[in-house]
Amino acid sequence: MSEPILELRGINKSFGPVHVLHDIDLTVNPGEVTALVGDNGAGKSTLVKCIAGIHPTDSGEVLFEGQPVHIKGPRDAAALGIEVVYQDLALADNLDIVQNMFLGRERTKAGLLDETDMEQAARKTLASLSVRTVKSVRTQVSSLSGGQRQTVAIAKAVLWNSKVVLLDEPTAALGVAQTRQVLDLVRRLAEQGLGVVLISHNMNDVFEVADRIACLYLGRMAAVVGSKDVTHGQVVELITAGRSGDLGIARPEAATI
Amino acid sequence: MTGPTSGTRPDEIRRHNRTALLRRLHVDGPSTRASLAAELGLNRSTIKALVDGLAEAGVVAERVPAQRSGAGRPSLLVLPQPHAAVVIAIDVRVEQVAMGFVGLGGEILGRDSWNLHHRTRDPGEVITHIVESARLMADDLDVTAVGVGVSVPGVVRRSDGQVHEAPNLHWSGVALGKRLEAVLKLPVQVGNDAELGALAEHVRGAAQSSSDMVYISADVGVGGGVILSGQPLRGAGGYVGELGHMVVRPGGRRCYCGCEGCWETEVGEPALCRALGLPDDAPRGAVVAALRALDDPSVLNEFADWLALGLANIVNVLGPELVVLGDLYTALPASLVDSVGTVVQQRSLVSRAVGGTQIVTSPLGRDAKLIGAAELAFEPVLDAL
Amino acid sequence: MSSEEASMTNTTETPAQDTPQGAISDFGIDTTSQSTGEAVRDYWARVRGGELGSLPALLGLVVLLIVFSSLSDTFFTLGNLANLLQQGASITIIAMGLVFVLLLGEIDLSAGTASGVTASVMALHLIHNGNLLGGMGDTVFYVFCGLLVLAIVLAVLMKIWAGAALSAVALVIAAIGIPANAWLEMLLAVCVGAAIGCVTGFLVAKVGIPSFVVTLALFLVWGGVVLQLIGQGGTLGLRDDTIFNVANGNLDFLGSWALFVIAIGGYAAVVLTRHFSRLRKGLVAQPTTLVLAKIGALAVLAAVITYALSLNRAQSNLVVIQGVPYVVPLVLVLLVIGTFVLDRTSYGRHIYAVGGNKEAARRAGINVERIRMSVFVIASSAAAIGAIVYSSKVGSVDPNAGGGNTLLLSVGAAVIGGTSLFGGKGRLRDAVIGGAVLAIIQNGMGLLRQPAAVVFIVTGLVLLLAASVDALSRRRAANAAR
Repeated sequence: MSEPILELRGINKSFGPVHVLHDIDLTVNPGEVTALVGDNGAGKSTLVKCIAGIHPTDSGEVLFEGQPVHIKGPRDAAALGIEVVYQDLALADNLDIVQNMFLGRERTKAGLLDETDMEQAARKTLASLSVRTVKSVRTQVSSLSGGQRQTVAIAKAVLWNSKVVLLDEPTAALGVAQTRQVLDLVRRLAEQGLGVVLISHNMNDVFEVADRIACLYLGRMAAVVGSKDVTHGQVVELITAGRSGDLGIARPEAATI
Repeated sequence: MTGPTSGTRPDEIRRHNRTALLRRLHVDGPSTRASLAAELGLNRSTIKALVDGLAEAGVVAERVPAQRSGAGRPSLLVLPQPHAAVVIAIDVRVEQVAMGFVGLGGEILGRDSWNLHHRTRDPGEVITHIVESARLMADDLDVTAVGVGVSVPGVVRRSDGQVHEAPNLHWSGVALGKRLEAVLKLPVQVGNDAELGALAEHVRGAAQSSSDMVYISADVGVGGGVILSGQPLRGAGGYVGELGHMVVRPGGRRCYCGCEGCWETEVGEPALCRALGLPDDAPRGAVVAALRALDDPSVLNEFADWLALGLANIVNVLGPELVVLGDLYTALPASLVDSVGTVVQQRSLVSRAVGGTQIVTSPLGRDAKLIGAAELAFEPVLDAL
Repeated sequence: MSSEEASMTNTTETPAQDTPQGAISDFGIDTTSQSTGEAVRDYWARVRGGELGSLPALLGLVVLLIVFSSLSDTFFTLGNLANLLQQGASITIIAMGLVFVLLLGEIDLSAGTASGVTASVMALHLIHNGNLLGGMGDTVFYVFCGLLVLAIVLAVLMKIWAGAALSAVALVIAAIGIPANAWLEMLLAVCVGAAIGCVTGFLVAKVGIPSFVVTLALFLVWGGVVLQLIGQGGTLGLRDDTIFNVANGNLDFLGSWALFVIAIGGYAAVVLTRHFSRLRKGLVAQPTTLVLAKIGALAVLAAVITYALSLNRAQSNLVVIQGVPYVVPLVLVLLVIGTFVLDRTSYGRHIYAVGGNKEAARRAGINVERIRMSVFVIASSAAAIGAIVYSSKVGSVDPNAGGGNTLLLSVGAAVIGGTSLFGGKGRLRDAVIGGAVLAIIQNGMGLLRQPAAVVFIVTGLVLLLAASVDALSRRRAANAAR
């Protein structure tokens, strides 16, 4: 019944001589928040960009709903139902909320943009998330706060009926209160049955929202643990040393980039 | 809400009318002056005076309606201003706490939520986190809350917010209301989660036009809230609502309450997980996803039978015209809910007598208890505004 | 389509997503329409927030009109009014093309001299009766054809089919040698312009050379090409009535008023259809009175201008000069088509997105390279149309065609009108308004018999002012977002 929505098998990725990802295995289950944690340079963002089709992988398999898929670009990912929310650079400042939510996938009628249809759909989506983002969906993104921007970016996943949402440090640039709001939204997405992957390096955030924690250490998957089963300390050890008690890589000292 | 009796002073009547008008706007949302006048039975000049007064105080605003019908000058739309009165709503669930700042008119201005693990489920930890979040959010939203409503999955004394027992949280004898009042320095109302769910459905959800209704919700446990003749049903001291602990299967599974075969053990979230082949403690989203992806609805037959059995008992005892299934039950396939409804009608004498009790899922979903907690907090606030 | 359907079913399946009061409370303001006062306050708030649009240019326009009509007796005469329109048209048209480039935050410094090349090719084709081989000489002709082939290849490579098709048409016209025909010459000019744009765009978008450098180099190259085609000191006369009429002819009385009816009627139809469709669907809209007032004001203004232009404005009694100049409908048609593309098509939306945030656009699945290349094709094609107009105005093409100030004035027109040099902000009508401002300055200063030195200095200062307004309003907008 609970077959993974997205499954990575043995993903490898190098940039020139630098081997960034070593045989990464990861499953993303529907309705679960999987936190992806790791030190700077552990390969978190690279992994997400590989899934999103921005970087091609060197080897390994990606399965979506049990079927092997080849994601070659943002369009492919979107077509499968994978939405990616980046820390920044996700929205065009000079466009309004509706235009951004439909960017690259505009609805047209007889070749022309169907503005009213898009506006209604965007409003419905934002209202359904009951987040009071802004006064009007025709507000330009440049006048939104950081939290509101991320809300709009995340709302795209609901608008497009995505099955998996990957969030690359969505709260890194936000204040504490706005971070909380965004995390609350992330949780509610998962409760609606979406598979969520959240990159974060804030342990409090991770424990507040995640069901499972995947720890990357020097480009290797050190461990994937249930957030109920571990302590902050153990996760921090996994991140910094690749090993904590029985958990983690057998010989982390042998691991190299 | 008692009507003005003869001999009341004019400003008391005005005060009463003002509260009635505010309540109407708070519940129904933006309305035209004309419809307000008609529904409250007041003449237009009285409405104008009241609305003008409220507008001056910044509690409402008036705007031109977008869709006009008929010719002539459109009646102005009166909108409640969310920031005029903001309350903090807190929904303590078994696995997490959800919290929202809710403005006049029911708009959720901001929200937060966090998972509860073994350690963080401790009442002290929960209270600390609530206070911390409340301060952060009040600053971020730039609002000052005027009241607090809390929903707790357990047996609660309404008068002072004492949580007698909340078994799934492993709480007992927690003076939640008093402790929160002391640190937040605001009036705090605490209610049973199912009762607040019922309140939310009655005010903003599926039961707006039903005065006799039962709200059943499934989180980890199953609870029920009852509204009869428009009033919530409360037992002595306000302890009511443990519908999940009706024993339906003597000799059945052991329940933590000490009995065997409680209804909850057959229709709660763990029971649903078993039927779906998920681990008992699967996250909520996984259950929702599995229900949505269900190929073979027959795996839920036994679950549906138990659900119908319990509901038939409840309908027979309480005689509601409407049963609202909330929380996890909102993810059940529509066909299952329909067939359960049919079975209950067939089996229940009372259902047939009242012309067929409707069984529907909640339109408020996961937020019902949060909205109910907000309404609980709003009750004293609307009178004072 | 299936994803739309799926999202619909999704929202009905999960009741949590469909809280009935949510729609009202979350965007309460969206569901009520604005009163006139609110709409005005709203606009004022946007202006204060740094979204000036073309407001400064419009104010400048009014100020200039007042200043010049009070200083000069001849400025506000019928003859000068028509003259003004004909003078400003070519700059305006080139500026409209440049708006597309500027929207991406790029620049095309070569648009002026490129327009000169197209004008020269047009003139050569006309003079040599279609025999470009003879007109250019063997080597030049083969290089020319080679470049056209290159343009086709590059356009096909980047899947810019319109660019490829236009370049191919240019190649065909050049190779076949059809006898001179004014319409054919003008088509050839536009096609050559498109081909030039393909080359420029490819160098910027695919090769990755900054547009400033590419177009600076090409500015010199095309300047040289014009010299080569025309010959030092030579002048190619355009003795053809059709070409002459483009910038100098007028619609007759009936035609002028027909244009008025079509333009205002069309504008009103488009605006009102949209307005009422928004009202019907319960979306926020401006108050109907305000919309009607805007249309009314525009109609009155257009009627006054049409009436004035349909009077006889000849200086002598021997001839009758009346009617709206042809350049007016020409500019209007280009304005309408361009605005339509920018506002109502996905392509236009993508241009704004790439100009606003290239990386966001790329991640949204937009083919950024293709968009970047395509705007240069548009700019060069528009420059070719501008070239037709200015050549027609003077009746000849000389080695200076498109050189000198042509490009700088065009960029200036776009910027003065409110197009941002930083990309992402600007509308086509900005170019028209800016073009009008520049034309009035040039024309008015000329009437006041100011020396060229003063005209240059004033024009430059106005441009500087416009650029400062842009930069300051951007900073203001950035601060408002905090």
